[in-house]
Amino acid sequence: MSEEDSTIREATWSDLPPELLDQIFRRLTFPDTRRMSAVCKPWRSALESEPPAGVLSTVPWLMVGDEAEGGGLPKGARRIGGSVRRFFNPVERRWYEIEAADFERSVCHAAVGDWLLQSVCGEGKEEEEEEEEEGEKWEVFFLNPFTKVRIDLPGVHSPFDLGICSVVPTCTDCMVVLIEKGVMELRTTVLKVHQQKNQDPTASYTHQTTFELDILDAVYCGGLFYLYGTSWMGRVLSFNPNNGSLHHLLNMFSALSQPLSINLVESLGRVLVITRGDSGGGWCRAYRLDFSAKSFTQAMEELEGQTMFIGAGTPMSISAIGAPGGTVYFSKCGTFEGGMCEFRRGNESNIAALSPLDHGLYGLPGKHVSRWPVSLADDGMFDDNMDRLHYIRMPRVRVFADSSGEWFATGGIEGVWVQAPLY
Amino acid sequence: MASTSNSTSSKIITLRSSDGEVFEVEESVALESNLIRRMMEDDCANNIIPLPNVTAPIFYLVIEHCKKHAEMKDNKEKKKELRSQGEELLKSDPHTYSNLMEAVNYLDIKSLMDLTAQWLADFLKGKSPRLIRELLKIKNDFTPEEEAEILERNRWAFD
Repeated sequence: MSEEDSTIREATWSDLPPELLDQIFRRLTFPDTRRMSAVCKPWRSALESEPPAGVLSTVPWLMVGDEAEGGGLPKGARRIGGSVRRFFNPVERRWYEIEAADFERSVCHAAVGDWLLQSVCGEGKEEEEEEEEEGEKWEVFFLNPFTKVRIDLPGVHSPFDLGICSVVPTCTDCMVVLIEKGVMELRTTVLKVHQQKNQDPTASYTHQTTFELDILDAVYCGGLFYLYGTSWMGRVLSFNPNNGSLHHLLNMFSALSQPLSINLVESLGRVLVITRGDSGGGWCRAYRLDFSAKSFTQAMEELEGQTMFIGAGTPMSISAIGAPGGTVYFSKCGTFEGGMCEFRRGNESNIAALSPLDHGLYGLPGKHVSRWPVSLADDGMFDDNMDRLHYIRMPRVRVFADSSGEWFATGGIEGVWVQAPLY
Repeated sequence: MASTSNSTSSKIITLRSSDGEVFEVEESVALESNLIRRMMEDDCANNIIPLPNVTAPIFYLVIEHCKKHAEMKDNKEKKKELRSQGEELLKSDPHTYSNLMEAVNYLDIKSLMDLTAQWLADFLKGKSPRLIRELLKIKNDFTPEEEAEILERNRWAFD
């Protein structure tokens, strides 16, 4: 009798109807749904089906580099040899170490949805490197750290610095622009990803464009890529991936009151420029670009009801559900530690709070973060002979091994916003 | 439209649970259930409404929760009290809690569904699959191989 009773008990939780399980699981964070999928088979099946529309948890995770110091390493060097990367989930305020063999020796250039755009220097990977410079081959691929799915793209001959993706690579019209920065010169490579039935997608290169621009950031919006570069007084350009044409849209650097960083973000179909500066304890401003009028306006109202996550190659703007509105989070890039700006509603210019990463939603427990430099000259990276434009340049990607064979990278993007799936 | 919970002129609805017990419930409480609302609209209003999927003890629990939920509006203390009762039930008698959730789902009571699902979600948060099975008395129906495969695939989530 009691045994029968207990079988009924055991069956109950597993037998809940799918729509009821859904009500429960949609309230969990992604890591919890992973744990729940290991409880019993019915729960696993419920969690393997598509999540209901509109319940995607949109607050992204932050992937951070494994910083390495000393031993003659250049400043900002990070370890890339291992197959583990660290992710911070701000909702749980918890770190996760995610392992994927494809992380080994790879550098991240961009993120789109839950996909990372990675590259690996082929040098010394299989056979010992020869005397070649030309033959140096870089593997380029998308990696989903949560499912470990890898989508290979054609390799490139030289390292690139920044990638921008139009949509996730599982979509038909995914386009990727690879940006390689030379001295006062920029080369872009456009990749079109072709979906194939029951097969891995293939990708092909289309246009290669070379133009003079020191690029800081780029975003995709409505069929075009927008680039912000500092050469020639801070230009915003549009880049058409279908024909490789480049259009100068506007100059705006002179109006930006000497920012420390400039980033682009697409928000509700508009392109915004987000700037940071250091005078008066730090400030952050948002500008809306109007391309038809070739003009821009300071537009703090664009931040209302939105939470923005700023970082080269990985910016996103989400409606502030489950996240504070009117808030901008910056990931670490170049000489900048991350930070957060929160805007008071209705107040156009004041920053209510500005804090390094150890405060706020993205507080990283136990991590020491240096304060924002009081002035540019206080920062060791700043050289009086360099002008301000150089200072805010995003450093080029370099990958190297030390004498013991451990691999490091410098430059590129260091904090990556990546969206974890809900289920 | 749901009427207020003032009992002055409230109509009484008669409901019968699967095990034959008859309940008399104020209309305002009964109308929290979209199922009952639909049945009444389909004209069972003057008859006894049968609830073939809900037993008397569970239905009693549902009504209790509905009443308390109506009271707790804008009352923090009550809210806390209801929550801790819910959590207590989940810990002491998970079987009944799952029946409660099923009944709430069947009766289509949105407010209670939100509450009970949220309490359960909060209970599940951060717990290992093994602990959940133990606490909720769920049978592990995976083969060791299947289980190892799931754990391996998302090892980062199980440390």
